[in-house]
Amino acid sequence: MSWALVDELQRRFPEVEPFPRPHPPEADAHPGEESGGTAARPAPARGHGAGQVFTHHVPGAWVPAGRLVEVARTLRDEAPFHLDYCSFVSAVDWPAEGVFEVTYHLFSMARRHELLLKVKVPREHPVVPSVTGVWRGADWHERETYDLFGIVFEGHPDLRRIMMTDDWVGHPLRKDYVYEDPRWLVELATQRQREIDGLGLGERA
Amino acid sequence: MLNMGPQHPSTHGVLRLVVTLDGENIVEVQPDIGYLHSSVEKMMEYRTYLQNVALTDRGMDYLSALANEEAFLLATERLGGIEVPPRARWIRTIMLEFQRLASHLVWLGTWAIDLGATTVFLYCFRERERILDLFEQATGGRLHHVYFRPGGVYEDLPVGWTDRALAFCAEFPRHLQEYHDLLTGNPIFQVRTQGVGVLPTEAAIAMGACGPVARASGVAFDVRKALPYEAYGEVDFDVPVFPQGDCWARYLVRMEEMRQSVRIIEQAIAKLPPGEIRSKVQVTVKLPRGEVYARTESPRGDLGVYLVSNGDDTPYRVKIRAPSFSNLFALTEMMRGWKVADVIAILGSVDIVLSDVDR
Repeated sequence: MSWALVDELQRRFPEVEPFPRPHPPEADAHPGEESGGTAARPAPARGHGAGQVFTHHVPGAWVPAGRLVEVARTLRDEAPFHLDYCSFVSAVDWPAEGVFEVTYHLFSMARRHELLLKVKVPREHPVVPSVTGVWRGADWHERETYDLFGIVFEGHPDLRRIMMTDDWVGHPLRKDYVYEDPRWLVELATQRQREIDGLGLGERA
Repeated sequence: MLNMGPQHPSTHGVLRLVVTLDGENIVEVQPDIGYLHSSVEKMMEYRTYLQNVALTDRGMDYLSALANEEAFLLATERLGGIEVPPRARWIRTIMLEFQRLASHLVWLGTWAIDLGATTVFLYCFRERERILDLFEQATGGRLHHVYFRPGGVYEDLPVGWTDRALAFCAEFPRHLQEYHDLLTGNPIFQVRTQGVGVLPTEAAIAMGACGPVARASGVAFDVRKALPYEAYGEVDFDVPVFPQGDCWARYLVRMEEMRQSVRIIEQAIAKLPPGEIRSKVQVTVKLPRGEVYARTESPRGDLGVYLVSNGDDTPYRVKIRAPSFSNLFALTEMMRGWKVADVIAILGSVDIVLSDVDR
């Protein structure tokens, strides 16, 4: 396991906050709570797992946005990390806490260990520095995260939408995003329906 | 400036390449993607884990549906602590390797057509058809299976299936030799691929290239070997690695991988244990709160699923790390400095599937 890496990271950067380590399953099971997995059974209320412990199965830490690039450079270049491969950059939306967690999964091709970095940014002003200068492969992943979450990566060489069209409004993977058909599409469908039936969408004789 | 696609037979889907040219030389390539974007990640947040298995078939890489199911279920099972019985693990391994064969055969056939060798395409699809028949007999589907389920597989293999699979494995190396006879010694094919579209090792790692593309650039990394899942830790196989980083190396890596896949299938069928094929799991399984990242080696490379659960019967967030997405980004590096006539050869050698890129 690479939890030793997290300790080393914290030793060099005291401001990072390591994930709580996963406990053995029996330590988690409190009476009256679901224990999940094979023993999962329908819970009486949909409480979004309230009271349950959030288990981090991947070792990692939260990093302040201001130190991200510095931490990233250390992780890539210095022993014992040598995390030269950035698997993906993405984000998780937590509207209740008012934050996005920008997530970076790193891997070392030579040492075969992994690390998850997370950066908490406020939902109202989601800005993180870009790590494209450290891992070139983060380029498109950051563009995708910008496109689908609206997180701005400062210093990215070409921060444009990548999946959605350039004139798209909103960021689809945010939890509060509601899809609406574009007006031109509704008008087109109504017109087409009128040509076939004599009545448009939602119209009555 | 040259615009290629989004409707072009050799883009293998709906991809637009904006190629900046200086005479015949490529200055820069900007892939324009998103034409097949269906926001699978968003849809998954509204579906139960079992429903999501069906979604991975369709919404992701359509040429390797079982590999997608595997990646999603591996994350689900690790997060939920769900046991998979040994027989199911071995059946999955067999199916995944057949999937790799089927996927590589489509790649080889279509790439050969791009380079003007029509015969190989017909040969490849002849063999692929037999694999799809095997899939149909076992899973009921040819392309979209929904065969892997949380905790195992849907049904046991039908009677006589392993014999038919072994018969195919016994015959396949001969067919593989046929492809080699048609292509490997062909001087036109060699000129169009050798030394073309080079991706250096450092660039491959830095750009996140994975799978056969990275292994053709000298990156000795295969998830099946480095981080074994299912039964891959218990079978004997080699990971082909070539240092050149050109189209030729990418071709050789996949050709050798097909041979290794046959090896794995033969060993797995020999070792296939009797017993249960599925552990008892609720249909609407609820996973405990937590996050996990599971990586698999799909035919196209390092396919990862980052899964966050909030204790509900649907995932809170699913991030699919698609191998084609990163490999397509590496394409911008491979293309620089080559002639416009090489675009098709280099693009085909990367083996992208656009529904995997866009998801």
